Amino acid sequence: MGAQDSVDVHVTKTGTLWLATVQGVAGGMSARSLKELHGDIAEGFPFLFTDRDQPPVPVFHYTLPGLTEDDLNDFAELQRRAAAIADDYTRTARARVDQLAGLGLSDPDIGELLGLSKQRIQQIRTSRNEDRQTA
Amino acid sequence: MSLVSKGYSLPRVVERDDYAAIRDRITTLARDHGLRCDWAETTRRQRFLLLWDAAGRVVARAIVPLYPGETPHVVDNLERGLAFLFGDDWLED
Repeated sequence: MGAQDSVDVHVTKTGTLWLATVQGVAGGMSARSLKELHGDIAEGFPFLFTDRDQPPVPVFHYTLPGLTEDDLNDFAELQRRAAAIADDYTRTARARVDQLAGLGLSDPDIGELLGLSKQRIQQIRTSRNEDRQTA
Repeated sequence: MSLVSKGYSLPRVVERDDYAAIRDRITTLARDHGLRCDWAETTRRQRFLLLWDAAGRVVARAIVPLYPGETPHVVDNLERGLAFLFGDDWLED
């Protein structure tokens, strides 16, 4: 079987209600909150596409005043990059702390070298030890 | 004497803000077209509907609002979306 299909879901807000139309489906949905709307779509898709091997993936398109799809896509990309940088930071900080501790440096000296407080160095060392114990 | 007994027919326009009226119209039209309705009543504000033909194929999918008076655009979209099966203005005739 090929890649999982997708269907476009167009979402907008009218008054207090979120409205959604689903590509290829007559009618539409409404909800009091976006979370409720997403939940109802997740609930309804397996039924609406029960004749398929697996339900399609909803691809959401939001139309809100002053907000473009690019705005949301740009923010999602920024989130991905921020998460990748955060991962890299954590990995690298642990590696440097390990390296410097291996040289016999004290936590305050390691902190001074890396521009971090000694409490932060202790946190990194503690989380490192916990990871090793659970590994 | 009622209008019916005098030979007048009752209005056949479905109340567009009445879920039960819309559901009954769909059910009736589906039966007239030899289609089977499957309804799912799993969410608070809408009912999911599949229309199957005699060969076991899904011929239409629909989401019918439970509070159509609050979502007239959804009702319009429902009417347009099922027009290929039931004809234009199937909610009005």
